[in-house]
Amino acid sequence: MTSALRARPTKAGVAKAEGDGSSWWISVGTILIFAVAWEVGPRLLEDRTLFPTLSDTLSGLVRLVTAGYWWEDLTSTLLSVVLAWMIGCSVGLAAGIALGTVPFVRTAITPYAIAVQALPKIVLAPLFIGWLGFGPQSKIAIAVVICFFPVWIDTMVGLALPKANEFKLMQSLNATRAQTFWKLQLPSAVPLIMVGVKHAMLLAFTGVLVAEILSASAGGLGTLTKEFSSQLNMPLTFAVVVVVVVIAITLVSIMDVIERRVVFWSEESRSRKS
Amino acid sequence: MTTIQERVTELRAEGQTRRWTISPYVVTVLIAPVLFGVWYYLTNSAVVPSILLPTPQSVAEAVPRVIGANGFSDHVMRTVTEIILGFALGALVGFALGMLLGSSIRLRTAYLPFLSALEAIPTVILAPVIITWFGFGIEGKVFQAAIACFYAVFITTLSGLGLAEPNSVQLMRSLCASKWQIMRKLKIPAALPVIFGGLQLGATTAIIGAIVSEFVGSDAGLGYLLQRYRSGFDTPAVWVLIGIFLIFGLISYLTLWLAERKIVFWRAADIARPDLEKK
Repeated sequence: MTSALRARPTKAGVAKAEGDGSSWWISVGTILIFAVAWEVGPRLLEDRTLFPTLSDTLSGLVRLVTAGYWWEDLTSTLLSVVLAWMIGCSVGLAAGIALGTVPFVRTAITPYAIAVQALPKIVLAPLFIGWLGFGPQSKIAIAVVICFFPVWIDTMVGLALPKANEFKLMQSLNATRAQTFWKLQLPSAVPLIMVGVKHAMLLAFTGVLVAEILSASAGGLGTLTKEFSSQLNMPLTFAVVVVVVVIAITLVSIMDVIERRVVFWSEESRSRKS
Repeated sequence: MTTIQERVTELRAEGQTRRWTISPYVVTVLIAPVLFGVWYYLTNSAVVPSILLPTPQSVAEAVPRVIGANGFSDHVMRTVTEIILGFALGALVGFALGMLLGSSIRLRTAYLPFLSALEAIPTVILAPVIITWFGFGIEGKVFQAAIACFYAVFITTLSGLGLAEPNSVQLMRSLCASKWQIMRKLKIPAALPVIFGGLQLGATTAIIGAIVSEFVGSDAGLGYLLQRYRSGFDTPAVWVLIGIFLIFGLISYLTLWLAERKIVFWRAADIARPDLEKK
């Protein structure tokens, strides 16, 4: 029944080629072509207001970073994301354990879990802004609602992963429920939980950005993008987008490292190490 | 002296008496009215002010008002078109690129470092940029929905193509199968269950992309309608629209689920029993 709730796709299965050193020039070449196209394309279109070139964007980035006013927005966004992520993960983990260890409850709650999964939770954003105002509270609340879900589902599904025989073995060894949980269910759930936790980080970031874009006075990188683009100041808009992308990549890399440390035994992380 | 057979029957009977006597589905059916009752009590006793959470009655009253409003069907059609076009575009591009990278080891190795970056980018940050580029019309929403759902389909196609058993690939090769035949008869069928997972996730993110884009700036659509009702402090109408979005989500979920059962029929048994899947 829980199979209707899927674990999120990962890039785990992407096969790696062994010892093929001749492909680095494709990576470098792609970056170069991309950079040149970004620099030349807007000039050819003769519309550098709407489509800033790479050099326009870079100078915008320098202006943004040296301006000083943006540090407040940056810290506000980062703080909200981290806080929302921590709250969302705790709630998701608690809910997942509470519901995942009791098969009866899991079966009973599954239709509702599917409904919650099907609802595009972002539609609640305007409501939260209405309830909690334009401040950081509404940002964090939206991000929590969006990001707790994968942690919850992945915990629930992960705890049910051990096969029936494994449960029987634990039973035949006279294991208590707590022992079954700590020694069988949790270890087999952790890889999946880590996937959920990583996705929660990305979703929390998305949630915070949407809230910031929607509420003009909230502050934060989302608000900055919206203001700059409505002033048609595209170099600065792109500069903020670049900053957001860099932050996102950094967050995911940190999560990857944590994942590898925590689930060092799973094949996925072992193959990634090599 | 009891035989083993008798002892087994005894133990079974013992086990059966300890099992739950009520079916979990009874609880499933009961949860909804309980939630509804809590909602009814909280709002009608004014514990929660109606401006924050409207009463069930007022939401029910708002249903004909919202649905009967002038041009409601146009708004629905607009949003549905955005979602379907955006999803189709994003899924097609994702599938094509996934196939391209999936069929060439060299390309795959070259682009692997970029995959994490693609995964990380929160596409919503582009919403204001896209509105500036495309205006309040439908094109920007389609584009936003497409970039929102692209990654899920792309990465599942790519990882799914690696799932075929190496032995089977070798067998095909020894039978002189062409690259295209191996792809079509072995790799794609092996990848389909995973790709469907990506499609399901992609459909959700496409809906989110379209709605966010409508929130940020639009001249029509359900997201636009929701923003308009909210700024008019018509909370019951907002909740009706949230209900409609829930129906949207459920329809897309069910459609893809049914399509999966039809197309990936050979996996239906595994899907029904996830505990049998090999880890």
